[in-house]
Amino acid sequence: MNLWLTTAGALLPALAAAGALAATAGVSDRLVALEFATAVGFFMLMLRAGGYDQPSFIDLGLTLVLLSYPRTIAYAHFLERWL
Amino acid sequence: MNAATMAEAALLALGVAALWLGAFGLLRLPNAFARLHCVGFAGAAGSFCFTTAVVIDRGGGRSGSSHSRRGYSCCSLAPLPLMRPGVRCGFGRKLTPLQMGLFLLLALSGTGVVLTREPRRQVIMMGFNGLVLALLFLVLQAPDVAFSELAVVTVALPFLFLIALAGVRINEHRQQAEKR
Repeated sequence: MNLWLTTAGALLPALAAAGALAATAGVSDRLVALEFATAVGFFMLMLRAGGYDQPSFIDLGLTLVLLSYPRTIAYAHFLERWL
Repeated sequence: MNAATMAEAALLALGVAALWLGAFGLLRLPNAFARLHCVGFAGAAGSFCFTTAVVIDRGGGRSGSSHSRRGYSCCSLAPLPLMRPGVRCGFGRKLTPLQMGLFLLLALSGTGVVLTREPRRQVIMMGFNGLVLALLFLVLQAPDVAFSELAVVTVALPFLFLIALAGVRINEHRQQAEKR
């Protein structure tokens, strides 16, 4: 296991912490936890792209980040207005 | 170990430390806005450290970097270096620590989805569960499936559930208004 994959593995506790908050807190706190999990997930995807020496895997992280913005806006809008 | 490798290792360690700090703040800070500030800082610091490490590794965009360049297509994947000594599972393969951690996290987050009874909270927990699933798919050498899972879990699923829940809530309000 090279340096990049080791670093990706070292991010697992941060992802677990975000998951713990997303499972137990109130709605707005869960949304913040999901945002943090998305950031950590992006870093894990990017580090794995480096670790496997497959630059095309960066597309996955890029997709995650680009799609997570409208998702967060939708969550915030729906929770504030209708739910 | 040359200077560039040491700088990479130091930057990666700094990035991990920033994200661990962000996770600690996420768990300890009192309200959502304070948590949002902490998470924003951690994400920016981690992003800076990891991106700088990648730039150093790739030689600042010059030719002759430490990694070989491969075709820009998921169809031309080389065998991934996943088979390491570890717990033996089905099909004669062995689980890496990363795979074991993600399997465990997937089981825990799935249990969290089931145990959450309030629909709004459940939708957010499902988003987290889908993210872990996408990460696991990539580790299990299925990047195309991970791509589909990411698209479903970040766009299709939240919109579907949020619109359905909003529709139910609006109908409830309308029926209550008609009764009055």
